[in-house]
Amino acid sequence: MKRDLISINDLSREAIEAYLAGAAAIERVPRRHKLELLRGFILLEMFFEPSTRTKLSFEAAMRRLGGDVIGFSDVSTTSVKKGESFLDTVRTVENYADIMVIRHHQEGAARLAAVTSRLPVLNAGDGTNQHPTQTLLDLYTIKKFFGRITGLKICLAGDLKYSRTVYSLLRTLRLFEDNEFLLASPDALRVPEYLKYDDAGRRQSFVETDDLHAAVCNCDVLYMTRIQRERFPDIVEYEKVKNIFRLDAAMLEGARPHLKVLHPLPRVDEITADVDATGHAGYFEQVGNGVIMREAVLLHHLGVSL
Amino acid sequence: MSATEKHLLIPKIESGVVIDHIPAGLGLRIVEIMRQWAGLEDAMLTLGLNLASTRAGTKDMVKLHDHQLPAAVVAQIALVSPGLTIKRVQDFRVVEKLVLQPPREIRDLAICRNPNCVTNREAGVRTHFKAVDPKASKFRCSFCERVFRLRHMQFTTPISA
Repeated sequence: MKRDLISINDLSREAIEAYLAGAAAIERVPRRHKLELLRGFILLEMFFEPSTRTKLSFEAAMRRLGGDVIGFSDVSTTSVKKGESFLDTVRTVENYADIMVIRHHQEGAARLAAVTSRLPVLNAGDGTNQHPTQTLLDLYTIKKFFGRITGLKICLAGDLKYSRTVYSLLRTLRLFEDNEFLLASPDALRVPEYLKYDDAGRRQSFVETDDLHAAVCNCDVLYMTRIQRERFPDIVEYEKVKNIFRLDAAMLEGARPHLKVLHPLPRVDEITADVDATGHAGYFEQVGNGVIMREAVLLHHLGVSL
Repeated sequence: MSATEKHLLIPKIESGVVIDHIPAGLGLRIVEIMRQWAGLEDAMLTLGLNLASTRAGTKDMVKLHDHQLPAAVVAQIALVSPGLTIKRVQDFRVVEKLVLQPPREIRDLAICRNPNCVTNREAGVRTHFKAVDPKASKFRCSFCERVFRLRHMQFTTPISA
């Protein structure tokens, strides 16, 4: 049976731990040995909307394992531009590869591809819904920094309304015991109501604040996201919250010594460059972990073991 | 109203289906659903509104003459009003009785209210929702993963059974 990776909500704690163990294992394999693992396999990248780092990260992961990559990242050069339906595109291109990764602006597109295609489908982002490999690499990064993903105080900060990354991380970390959460955002960008329900439909309560500085001093992991200008109908309101939700080195002076700052990137000005040298910055290591985690994902979903 | 008078108002049927214990006010909605299915649009129906009910005070009732309800119609009725009773009648006798339970999943019968859900953008995609709570009052779209309250959901009417 083919294995798809569509939503972090499909994964049990045990499944998540298996991905983390897989990433740790692949990280220990010497580079020259890696090159034999996926030789002869082809990854198909279908990026219906722009992506730089996710696309490059998957490509890097596939190539490091010896596999090939084909695909598109500009629908204007494909038959989609001629009016071909999404499903017809999936049914056609599945003949060219062994596994496909999809990014699409419509929520549910990757799931639809998965129920249609005979290939394993990996979701690289479907609208504002899911981006499971981002969540897995975030967890792997936390595990590497702290040696565990339990008993941590995690502050999720910035745009909590439109960021799919944040809620997936929140939902997943709740599967691991004794984690505490602090949600720091401007009022206009709080976690939406419909995302406050757990898998059993129970409404969850969270500590919410609009005071980023206070939150920074009181957590082990600070997960920042970008506040996007286009989310605000009033530009004055945007300018106001943008400056409040900006992390700089001075703000970190009262932070816990082991605090790590993570960010899915790209950052714009919500983390100033002086944070990079503080020892709290974890976001560039996070990017590197993305390739390792995607190597583990590709191996698992192609049924290849180390 | 005495039982005799009630029977005079809504006579027994020889064969067909009795839909009973419909919450008062929903009877016309049930009829509307039934009549939009091929084969039922011309069927003879008897409708009672605001009838006395010992259980709920008032209720509606629908009797469908000489036809059976396809399973898909029953599923759609269950979405509108779980808890009502469906009795199959032959030779004036009830031969089967079914109390509709709230569904655990809804296949094809509802439209996702998220306008950016792929089911609303791609032609011919069959929708699917799963209950997320024990009472089945909230459902999650299996594609976009948004959760909706049952009472806020928008239902389709299939062209045929």
